[in-house]
Amino acid sequence: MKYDAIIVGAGHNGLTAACFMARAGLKTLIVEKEDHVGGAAVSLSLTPGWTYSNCSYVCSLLRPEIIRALELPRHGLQVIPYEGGAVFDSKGDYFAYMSDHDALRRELIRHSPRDADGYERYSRAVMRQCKFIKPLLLRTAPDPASMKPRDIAELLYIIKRFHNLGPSEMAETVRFWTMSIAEYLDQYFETPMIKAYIAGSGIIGTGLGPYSPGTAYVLLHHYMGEVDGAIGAWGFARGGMGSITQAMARSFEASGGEIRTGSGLDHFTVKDGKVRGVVLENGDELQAETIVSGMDVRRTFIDHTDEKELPQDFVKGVKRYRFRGSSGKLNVALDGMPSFNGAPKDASFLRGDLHFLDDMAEIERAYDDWKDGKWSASPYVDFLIPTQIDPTMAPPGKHYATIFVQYAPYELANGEWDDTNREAFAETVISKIERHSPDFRKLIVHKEIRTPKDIEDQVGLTEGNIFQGELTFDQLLFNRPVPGYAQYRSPIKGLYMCGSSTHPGGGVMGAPGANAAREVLSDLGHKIDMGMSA
Amino acid sequence: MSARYDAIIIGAGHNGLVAAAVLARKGKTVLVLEARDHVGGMLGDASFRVAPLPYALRPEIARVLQLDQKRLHGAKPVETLAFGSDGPPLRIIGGHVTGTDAITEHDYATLHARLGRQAQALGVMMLQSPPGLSKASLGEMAGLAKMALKMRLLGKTEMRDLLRIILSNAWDLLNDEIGDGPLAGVLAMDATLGGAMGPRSPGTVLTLLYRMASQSTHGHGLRVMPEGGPGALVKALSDCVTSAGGEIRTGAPVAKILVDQDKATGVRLQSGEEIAAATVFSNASPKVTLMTLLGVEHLDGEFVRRCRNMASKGMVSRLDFDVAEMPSLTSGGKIEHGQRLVFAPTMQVIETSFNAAKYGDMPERPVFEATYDATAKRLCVSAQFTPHDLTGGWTDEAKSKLANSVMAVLEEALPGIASAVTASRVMSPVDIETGYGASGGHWHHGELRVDQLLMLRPFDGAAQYRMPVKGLYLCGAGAHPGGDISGAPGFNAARTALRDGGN
Repeated sequence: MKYDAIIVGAGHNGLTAACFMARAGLKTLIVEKEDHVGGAAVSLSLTPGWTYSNCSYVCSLLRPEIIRALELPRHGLQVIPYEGGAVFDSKGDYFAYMSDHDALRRELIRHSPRDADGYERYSRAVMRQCKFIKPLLLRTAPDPASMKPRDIAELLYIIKRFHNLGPSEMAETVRFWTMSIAEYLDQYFETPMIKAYIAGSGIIGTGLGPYSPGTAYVLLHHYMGEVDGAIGAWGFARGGMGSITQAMARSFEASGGEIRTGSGLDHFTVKDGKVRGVVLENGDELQAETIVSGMDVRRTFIDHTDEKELPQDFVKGVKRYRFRGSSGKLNVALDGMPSFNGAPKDASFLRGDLHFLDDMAEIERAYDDWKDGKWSASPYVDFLIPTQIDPTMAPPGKHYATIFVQYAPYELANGEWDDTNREAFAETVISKIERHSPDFRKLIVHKEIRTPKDIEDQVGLTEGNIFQGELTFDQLLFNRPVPGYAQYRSPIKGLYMCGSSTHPGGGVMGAPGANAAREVLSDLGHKIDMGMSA
Repeated sequence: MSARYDAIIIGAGHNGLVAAAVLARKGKTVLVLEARDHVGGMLGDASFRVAPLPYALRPEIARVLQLDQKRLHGAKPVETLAFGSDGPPLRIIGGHVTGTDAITEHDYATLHARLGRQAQALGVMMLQSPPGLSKASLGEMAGLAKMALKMRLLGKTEMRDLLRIILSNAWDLLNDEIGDGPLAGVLAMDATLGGAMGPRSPGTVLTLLYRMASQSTHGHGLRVMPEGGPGALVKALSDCVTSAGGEIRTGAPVAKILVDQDKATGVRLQSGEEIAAATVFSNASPKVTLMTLLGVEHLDGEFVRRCRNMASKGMVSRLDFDVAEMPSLTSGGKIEHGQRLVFAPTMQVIETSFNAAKYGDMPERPVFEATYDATAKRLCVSAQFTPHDLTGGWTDEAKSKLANSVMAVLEEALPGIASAVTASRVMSPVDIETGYGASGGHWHHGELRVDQLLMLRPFDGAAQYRMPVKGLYLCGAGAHPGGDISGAPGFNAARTALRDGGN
């Protein structure tokens, strides 16, 4: 069979790239190893009556340009914004985040009037950073070592944008991109709990602690999203995160695309430095001169490409590329709504992200455990109960809790991720939650435990890193995934990358997929109008 | 009021002396005021030096000041002995290591040379005033352009490589290139000594490159002992000031910088004496200069906030041990005068020792470098990570606990040393803070991190040596390019003031 283009992997980036290519008129095929599409954006039912967003769990980053261009709402996507969030400390107090400005201000003042003012300064500063970075997301990063007019022009565009910020904002931007989240927040806040609440966004998914320089920037990866134009807002995809990729798949098929699930890749066929097609695990050979891999860079080139076809420095760069999974997850079916110490029943802030922390040092200590190859004794958890506003995911009166856990190492220093250790890991998390929600444990009907190893085995994310590779500067922008190969092209002609291990990185954003499609279409001589006004 | 000077320099640290020398040699009337009874700041106290093992004064500065470079940069480079968990120590001079396998020797030499080239490209900025963010002068932009050109000249591969690692951590770089062990331990110590970052902290490659950019006749990235010890360097600098007509007064602590109509007019000493000057240079740290000596009443709120938020948490303690008879090494042989001993067997050990300090605790096993002064029969130790804000405070008990844990590590390599010690002294970061005008007891007057470098050093709005009060200049390690013994901040500050004065 011959196609114009084959996309490997039906994750949200593979699907995004595929949609744009099919819309440009290419005969496009997606091959997917699992028997369902979605990659890390899936809704799965593991116990009757419940649906889990068993990998990614909240939605905000998906670029609105992509939602519009691919007509995802028409294909069934509905994002419900949630409001609120809270952190509970060990003394029985909590800090509640509320989207209502006045309510939030009252809550901030309850803790510290100075922090209420600090919050105004903080949110303005972060908003300015979001504004600065957003237009860069849907652009290809320039290669600073290149002399090509396009790279120079793009570099000048960024410099100009940077310069337009004005002197004090330029300084602020450099600081923001390089500082630790802890020191960044110290500038604005004094209440440990408030800092801890925000600091979580700087370390989710990374192999860094809140005291590590570079984590302030990661915050942006959790703030630059929007729901229905509300910047920084988060929402649930109704029916779970799988609804996003289901809508993408329908959009793709509506444009004439074809999806083959249960079709794992064996290898890419390469001849004379050009890609010719793929050979599947079942032996099927498919031909195409354009192939886009949604897998991470290591899988694509080390596991599925003949190393002889690649230049040595590239192979070295790929092997050096760092994943370092640091997150685990629990998906829990609950017999009812748990209560939380000190929080009124049905409090609106319980509909958001809940955390159990005293201060940033607690997160840093959790990171120290991870560095030593242990899961955190007192982990950072991002706990949400989406069924409070999306009743489709659990039977009436019952609830589903998604519990993201930071940190858990990919490799344990002492032992393997066997069932004993997986249970012990879950127990660590549950007992921490139980201290703040006494009835939580007895409400558990079913639970799914996902260690970084499970995430790797079941989702194909190497070492269980949720971003397909660390979001540190040595792996961002023109460095992602490998310097000199950061523009979605690989050393093999016709073979492209579109996964989160390319710029601008992870999160259910779709930007790498859209950017890759733009580069592919430009190489094929298509007029580059992807229906997006970036 | 006494006679009026063209410039008063607060603090006779090496940067203050360099600034004074540059100004005096341009015919300015200069007075250096030093609180302590010795000149040389952290280099100066012969009985207990904060910096017993300096990096080289920038050769360009030595040339301009016509110092005897041959004497300053020593007869032979300092040899480093890197102690692993067992076996004889590795011996390292610059890019040359012995005592390991041939592959590691080669990999290390390659890495050292590469980092040297990359550091030289960045080092172009060392003696340039950092460009302003609002409007940069042509000269300032020329410095940046020169650096960009130098980076290009590294070639595509090395330039890309530099842009990849520049904000990265020493841990990853060294694991990639030479693997963890005593050799990586030495480089990671270079990257972290004096700061509040562990080898895993992003930004430690930059601090390593900062050290690699230091230059002497022996090459780059080396500690250089002047002939006659650190005192000889101090003497050369102070002689340079006085021979050009400058005055130096020791035992003259400054209480306040005097200001009239937003212009610095002189200083008042703690004795009450007031001395007038057209310009005032402060070699103290930015926080001490601005918050204590100048006073917040002369600054706007945002400026004060930035100053207060400046990261300057010192984590190095100094320990001196007088040793009657230096015992032999476990692995055989004796240590020699002037050698640098590094006790950081792996990067992992360094990181673990940093862990405790993050929470204000003393590490169980500190990592440290030591130098042996055979003439004084003294082992001078710089130990980290010992936090300035130690939980429970820097009591005598805490100090002796630190001395004991250092001694326990030394005992492994030099069995019998503990019983040969006749006297010991401990200087905590708090002692350094109070004794040397360095807030937080920080060697560099502030962390060397991207958010506090170049046009952001010490912080946005205070870069380029000029403080918000006209005629007040910052000339210490808190100013660009930063700490260590380089003389560059003092040199650049003096030149900035000369340009402002129309010279």
